[in-house]
Amino acid sequence: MRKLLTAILIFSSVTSFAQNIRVGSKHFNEGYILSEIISQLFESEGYTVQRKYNLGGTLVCFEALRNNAIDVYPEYSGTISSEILKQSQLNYSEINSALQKKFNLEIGVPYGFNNSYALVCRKELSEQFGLTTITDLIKNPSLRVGLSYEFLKRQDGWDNLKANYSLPQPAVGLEHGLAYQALAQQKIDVTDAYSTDGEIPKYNLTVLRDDRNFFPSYEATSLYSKSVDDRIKKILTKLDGKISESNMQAMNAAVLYQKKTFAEVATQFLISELSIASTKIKTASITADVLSKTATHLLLTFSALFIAILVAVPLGVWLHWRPRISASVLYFTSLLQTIPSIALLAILIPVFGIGTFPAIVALFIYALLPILRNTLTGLQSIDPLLKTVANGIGMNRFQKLKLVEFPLAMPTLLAGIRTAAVINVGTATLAAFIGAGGLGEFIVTGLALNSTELILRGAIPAAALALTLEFGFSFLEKWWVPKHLQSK
Amino acid sequence: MKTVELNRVSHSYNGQTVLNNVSVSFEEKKATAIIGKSGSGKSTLLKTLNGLVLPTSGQVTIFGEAFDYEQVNAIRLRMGYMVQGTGLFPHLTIAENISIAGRITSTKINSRDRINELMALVSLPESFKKKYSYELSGGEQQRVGICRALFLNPPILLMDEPLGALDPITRQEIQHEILKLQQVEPRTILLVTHDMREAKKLADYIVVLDKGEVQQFDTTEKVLSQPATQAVKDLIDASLS
Repeated sequence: MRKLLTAILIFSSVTSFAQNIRVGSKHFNEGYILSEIISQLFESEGYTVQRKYNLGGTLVCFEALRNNAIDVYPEYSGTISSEILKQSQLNYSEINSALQKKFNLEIGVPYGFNNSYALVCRKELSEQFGLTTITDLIKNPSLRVGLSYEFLKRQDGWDNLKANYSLPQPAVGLEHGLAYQALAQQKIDVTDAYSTDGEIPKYNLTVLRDDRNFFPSYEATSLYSKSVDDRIKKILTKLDGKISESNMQAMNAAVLYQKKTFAEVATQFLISELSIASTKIKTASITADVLSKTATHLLLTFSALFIAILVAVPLGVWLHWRPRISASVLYFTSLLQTIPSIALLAILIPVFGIGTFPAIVALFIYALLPILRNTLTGLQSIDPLLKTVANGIGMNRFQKLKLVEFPLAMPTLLAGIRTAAVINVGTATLAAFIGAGGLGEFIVTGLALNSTELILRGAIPAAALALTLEFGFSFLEKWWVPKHLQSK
Repeated sequence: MKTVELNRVSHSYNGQTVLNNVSVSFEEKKATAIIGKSGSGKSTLLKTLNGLVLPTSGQVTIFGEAFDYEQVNAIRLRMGYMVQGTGLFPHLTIAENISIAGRITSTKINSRDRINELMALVSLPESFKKKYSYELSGGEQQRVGICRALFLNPPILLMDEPLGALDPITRQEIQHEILKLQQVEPRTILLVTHDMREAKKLADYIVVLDKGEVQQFDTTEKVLSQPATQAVKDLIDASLS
């Protein structure tokens, strides 16, 4: 038990030292690659890098940065303007000054690519018809346009684009995942894409230049606190204008189609584009990796469970003695339970930052209700005659609790703890979104990469853990509770 | 000497008068039956004696002193308590049930000897010690209930219709055990029952209650031969005719 507590303390008290930098990342391919480039860049400068990857989405990353839980992460100008500043049509320098004024944050010079919506077509077609810009489409009204449903609906999508450029083609809708195939099989000629999609080099496609600047700009750059060390800002400038759209497409494709790791892709980029040899990549064996993440997962689950038991069981007893308020307290904990896990994690970031501690807090909150409710139910459902007899014999309330009520409530109480443990094993996979690690890291990375193998690498041990806990607790019940009182 | 006294004790619950101005005192080392119909207040009267029910007015005196509700658990340890349906703890073995009072008192008792002694007294085989109550018949369970109530050798024994749920044969056997106990080591027994035959068999004195009021309090013989009110006569007729 003491070891566990020490481990919790160590985990939650690791803060940044000098020469230490914490790099965040959103959970999608390009985010991982860019963050890995930043991390390796700092490592080549002698920094110790804490990689806080897999952070949920824009909100989680941004809150983490604001609350000084990370130092830097890559972000897009369009996202900053629409999702963080909630203003559209800001140019780059307006975005930067608004960030400085409102949040004391700042963005660097763009990396050099714009990951925005784009129209693409097969390369032979673009050569055949002389297509390089969207304007060129006007002269070729017979081209077949097939677009994702989302692009058909968006404000910055087809309707306004067509009006802006006076395009003559009608458009049909199709599932985005099928669009590249449809292009390759010449079922359609033009579709929408993100300009840095790895599919663009893979299918040998041409991006038609947005010559009227219709699409909002999504320039990638580093977002960091204004007060961060000048040396850090200086190191980040090495990436200014260094990543082109085709670089980014190639890196995305390398991860998606050549199954290279983010680290390998980033190393390759730093060597070939910046002539920076980063420190060697450590490749841990899969088994060691799974084991260490399982250990983190167990630490998260059990610390939260343990604290929840310490709080919920005495609280349950206290409420048992005060039946008038027990209903309202149960109602309140039920309310906590209904907060979606991702939302709860996001709510906790401003208070506790990111990492292990807020994850344990969130898991604690989820474990509270089942334990509290079962403690109370267990104590309340004891035959009133037995309570009368216990009183009549001369037991005070603590003796009655110890000798009669707790032993009789134990099967129900254990069932509550078991439920909480199994819920926690599942919920703990989401802790990866706020950088707490655990088996969820495999799952969220696997989701971003669309890699079933990686998802299973997290999901199978998590499922195994849940089953082990289930069996472990039923064994505990068999050992602890007389047979005739065991729950069926 | 009077071990237990009630002086003008009343109790009401939700505006309903359950006990009305009851004054009785019980003779030491004698068995007194508290008898009445359902709802007569007989069980409530018993519970005022161990503080499970607090009088709305009036005073309870135990061992010559006014009932000190601050010390209620210490007082209860000096009174054995038996209920209908035994109230044995299902998670404890028979031996643990019998010796439960030993675990909440600082008095030093050799539990093993005391358990053996009590079990022998009510004819329970030693092999029952490690069993659980669900493995025993109703009569056997009630014998265990007697052992549990007597573990600390209390001077007072409160019995709240302990035999109410037993079949007639078993009931007679347990009544026999209780009589035997009184011969071996008499104590103040207060027995709640609705059965005049049981009262006749076990009790030296009878208190008859009706609608929360004492109808008659006298020796068993006197109550049976000279019923004071119609309510007493009805009870006798119902049980003994």
